[in-house]
Formats: sequence, C-alpha cells, structure tokens
Amino acid sequence: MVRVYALAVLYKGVNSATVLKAAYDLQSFSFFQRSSVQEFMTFISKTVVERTQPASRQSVKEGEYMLQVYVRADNLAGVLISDQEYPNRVAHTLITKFLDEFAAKVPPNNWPTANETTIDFPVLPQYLAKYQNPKEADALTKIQNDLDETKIILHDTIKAVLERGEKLDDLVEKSDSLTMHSKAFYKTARKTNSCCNF
Amino acid sequence: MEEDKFALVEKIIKDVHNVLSKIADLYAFDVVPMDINFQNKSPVLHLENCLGLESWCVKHVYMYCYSELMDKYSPKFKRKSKKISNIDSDRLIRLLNVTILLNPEINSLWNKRRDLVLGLLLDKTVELHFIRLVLSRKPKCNEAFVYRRWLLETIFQEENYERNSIEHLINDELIICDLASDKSPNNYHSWNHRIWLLNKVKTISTYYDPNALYIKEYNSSEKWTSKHVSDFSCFHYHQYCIKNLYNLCNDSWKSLEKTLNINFRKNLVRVLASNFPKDVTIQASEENLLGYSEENLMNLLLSYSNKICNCIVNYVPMCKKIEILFHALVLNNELICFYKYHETLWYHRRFILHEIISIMYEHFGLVRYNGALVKKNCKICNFDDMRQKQAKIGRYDTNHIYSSVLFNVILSHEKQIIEERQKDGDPNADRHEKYLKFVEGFNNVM
Repeated sequence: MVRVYALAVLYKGVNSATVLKAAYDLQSFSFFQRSSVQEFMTFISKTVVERTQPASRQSVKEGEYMLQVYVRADNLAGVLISDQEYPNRVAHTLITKFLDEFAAKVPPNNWPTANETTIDFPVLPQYLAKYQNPKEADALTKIQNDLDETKIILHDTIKAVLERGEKLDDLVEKSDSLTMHSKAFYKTARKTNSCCNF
Repeated sequence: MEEDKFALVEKIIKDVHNVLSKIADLYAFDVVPMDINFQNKSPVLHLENCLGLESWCVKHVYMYCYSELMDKYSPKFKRKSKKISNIDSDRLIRLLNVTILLNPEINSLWNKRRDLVLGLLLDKTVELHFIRLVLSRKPKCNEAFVYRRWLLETIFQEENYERNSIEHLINDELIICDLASDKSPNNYHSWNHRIWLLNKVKTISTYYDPNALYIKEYNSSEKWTSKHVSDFSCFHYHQYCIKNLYNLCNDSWKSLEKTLNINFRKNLVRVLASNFPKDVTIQASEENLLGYSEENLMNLLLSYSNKICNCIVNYVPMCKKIEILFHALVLNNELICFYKYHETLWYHRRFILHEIISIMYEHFGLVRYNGALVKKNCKICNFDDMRQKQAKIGRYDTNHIYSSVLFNVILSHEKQIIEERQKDGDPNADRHEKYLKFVEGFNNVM
C-alpha cells in the first residue's frame, strides 16, 4: 500500500515543539479510532521533532508506519507520516518543498508564537491528496535529487530516536495532549500488536 | 451484583438490536477501547452510521451471549426437536448478532444463521449487510466470506433473477472486496472471493456478458497493483485478470484499448525495436513493424514452426497475448525502478516471463516435462510422431527457440534490467537471474 496519512509543519522551540499547520487523511482508520489516531500522530510528530537536531533529516520506522522528519537550520520542521512503501526520497523532497513555501508565506518572526488557528497556509490538504501517488511527486524529485546533500538518518524503531532512559509508554502516560480515550487506545494497540497477526 | 450485570447485558443486547434494525445504513462496527465505565452511559455507540461497543463491556456481554447460545441452542442436546419457533428465533438472532460481531471466527454460529435463512427466518439481503459490518471490523474473516458465498449461491439459484439486479449484486460484491482489501494488506480472502465471483459470473453468463467485467477488473487491478507494491494477493488477482483477457473478441479488444487509453501494438513494437538482436538480417524500424499484420509479426518473431501436424495456427490471439504480456512487462519495469527492493514485483515479473515462454513452447509444439523439453503430441489432430526419436529432436528444437527473435529480445531486455538493478544493490536482481537460468532453463544461453 502506498499512502500518506499526515503532513505537518512544526516549530522546534527551546523546550518543546508546536504544530503550526497539519493535514490528515484518516479515511482508512475506523470511525471510532480517527480522533485518537490523529491525536497520536500529532503527539509522535512533536516528540520526534523535539529529538531531532536542527539541519538534519530522519526516517523513523514503527510497525507498518514510517515517519519522515526534516528540521531546518532555522528550526522550522516538517513531518510526513506514511506507510512503509512510500519512497523516502520522494517524501523528503516533498517536505523540503512545502517548508520552503511555508517560509515564503509566513514570516519567521511569527513562528515561535503562532499556532494552528492563526496561520494561513491552506495548501497542505491539497498536497496530501495530490501526493498519495508518489509518481506525481517524482517529476519534482528528479530536479532536487542532487540539490540536497543532507543525509537521511534511518531508524528502525521509534526507540532509537528517544533519548537514553526514555520510554514511549512513559511519554504517553505523562502527556497532557492525549485524552484518556487515546491513552486507552494506545494500550490496546500495544497489546494487539504483540500477539500474532496474520 | 450478578443480577445487575445480567440486566445491563440484556440492555446492551437490546440496544445493539435497535441499532441493527437500521442495518442498511450502517457501514462499520468497531470495539472502542475504554478501560472503565466512568461515565455511566450505555456502552453502545451509534454515530454517523457506525456502530461501536466500548471495550470494558465486551467480556461480560460475550460470555453471557455465548453461554446462552451454547446451553439453549446447541444441537448437542436436542437434535430431534429441531423446529425453532418464532419467539425463539427472535431471541436467537439477537444473541447471534452480538456474538458474531464480537467474534466472527466461529463456524457453528454461522451455521445457525444458515439454518435460519433456510427456514426463511432471516432475510438474505439483510444478511449481506450484516456480513459487511462484520468485515468492516475483521476484513480477513474467512468464515464471513464463506457464508457470503453460500448466500450468493442461493440467491443466484433463484430463477426469477433479473439482469439489473445481478449487475447490482456484482457491483456490491466488488465494493465489499475493495473495502476489505483496503483495510488489510495481503488479504488473501478478499481477493479469493473476487476470483470466485468472476468465475461465478462466467457460469451465469446467459444473463450477463463477462467481457466488459473482465476489462473493468483488469483496469482496476492494474491501478491497485501499482499502488500496493508489496501485496502479492492483489498481484495474483491481477494475473488472473491478465489471463482473462487472452480470449477477448475483436470488439472487446478495442474497448479494452479505449478504457486503458493505450495502443498495445505500439508498446510491443517499441520494446521489440529497441531490443532487436544486431545480427538479424531483417532490420525493421518501429514504423515498418506497425504496418505488419499479426501473422507477419509472429512469423518475424518466431520465424519457424516445427509442429508436424495439420492444425491451422491462428496468429491473431497469439499476437494479442504477447501484446498484453509485453504491456505488463513494461509496467513492471517502471514499478521495479520506482519502488526499489520489492520482492513481490519480481515475483510478478517471473509470472509474466513464464507466460511468454510458455507461448513460445506452445508454438514450437514442445512441453517442459521433468525439467527437460520434450515434444508434445497434438491432441486435436492426433498426429502420431512417436516413431521419431525424442532426444534428437529435443536438441534440434531448443536451438530453434534460442535463435528466434522473440527469445533474443526477451533475453536482452532481462539482461538490461538485471544489470541496472544489480548496480543499485537490489538482491532480487541476482535471484531473478538465477530463476531464469535454473528454473526456466536458460543456463546455457545466458
């Protein structure tokens, strides 16, 4: 399956990251899970951005999902959540592209204080729909192929991104941004993943 | 305390039953994770045409319904008193609904439903909706698919079936399969169900022309495979669709090209022209080849036939087969280069090549038997060539295959892609080379 679930622009502040704009495609999840899945995707995006050095790219694999993150030197960050088949190269070029556009549209001095409601950047949902087919994006990746020298660091699980001594379970438990419902959802997902799945 | 719990469970069963009475509008069922009942509300959720059940109550409800079903309705005790009364059946249906939604992998329960359908106590259309709900939560539930096929069989057997209701049924099935395949990757059961459906349509084709369906299915499976590059179940279905196209009549062929918006002949000729062996005396350009008739083109590609029988060879279907397979090969090239390192794509490539090669063997009147090529007797005209010595003829024939233009085109095409992918470090390329050498038996020509 080739599918993009979410695109997000974040700002990496001193202690924590804030979401500036995000778009989600959660059609493939069951109706009752969607709100939890969305909360969770936002939570993970923030967590990973906070743990990524400025001016670097990472690809994090977790189960059947893949999270691509790029934090620019000026602390603007982009996240793309897809499944494993979505080509990394295409994903990172797409992130570069929408971050450039975002930076051109929204002045940098607004970034630290802004939030999702105050920012006017309506193109993310369009991109999300258009680049469900990575071949669409390929035309643009060919140009960028040799432009970008930043190496993509690949991680096989989210554990590798977390700092020493940190556990995802604890982070989820402590988080204020997740509702009770989402925490219960996370626990159940944990349990079902651990048993055999054909 | 215990009594309270029973009363609660009874209420849940009733609530679920009420929601299910509007089953035609419902499209999904799910268990919603919720550790404790802290709001003291009914755990049955009905939102935007979805039915949900909070997880804290699942254990109690399931145990209660399951034990009542097994105690009161199990055939073990009353094999003789079989007749289910109306009041009984209403209770039975309520219990079955809840239990099956929660755990659809119990065949005894589905069999109970079969009994009820046969006794006209359950409506078949409603049942189809119910299975859809079950599949929305467990898209890989084989029991549900089996029951669905059983229902459809009985529906198809009803004689007064009109043409457009059959079309409607078929469309619904295709939608269900799409949903189930989308929800869970490598869903063998849903693709298998789809193949069953198409085979079924073949047998009732007095009402229905299957060719249009084949074209539609080929088109959609081609799109699906190009977006699900590691799902072999859908590739297998795609291969089934390719085989369905082999025997299309001329009109259907035209509508196929129109639907896909491609010219098969042009595609074939392009591949041929760019891979022609250098030492061939007939140097044909792309434009020249387009002017060839099917027979001339096949004669150029396979030049020689040593079938020693009197059957007349029809080159048109053969040419079509090769056109379809080359189209598939070109698509596969694109996918392999774009989505790197996907084993499934290489397996699909094996299928395509195997098909092309079997067309060649067929043409030369050979068959692969225990790894060696032997002569095949023509079954149609029963020509007796047993008098000739097989070993000698075998070697003679393989030389003809390996020197034919088609074979050389394929070989150069494969070598090219293997080399290109090896440079990129794709381990599947080496495997593909080995496959061609040792499974298809090209080790002395590669």
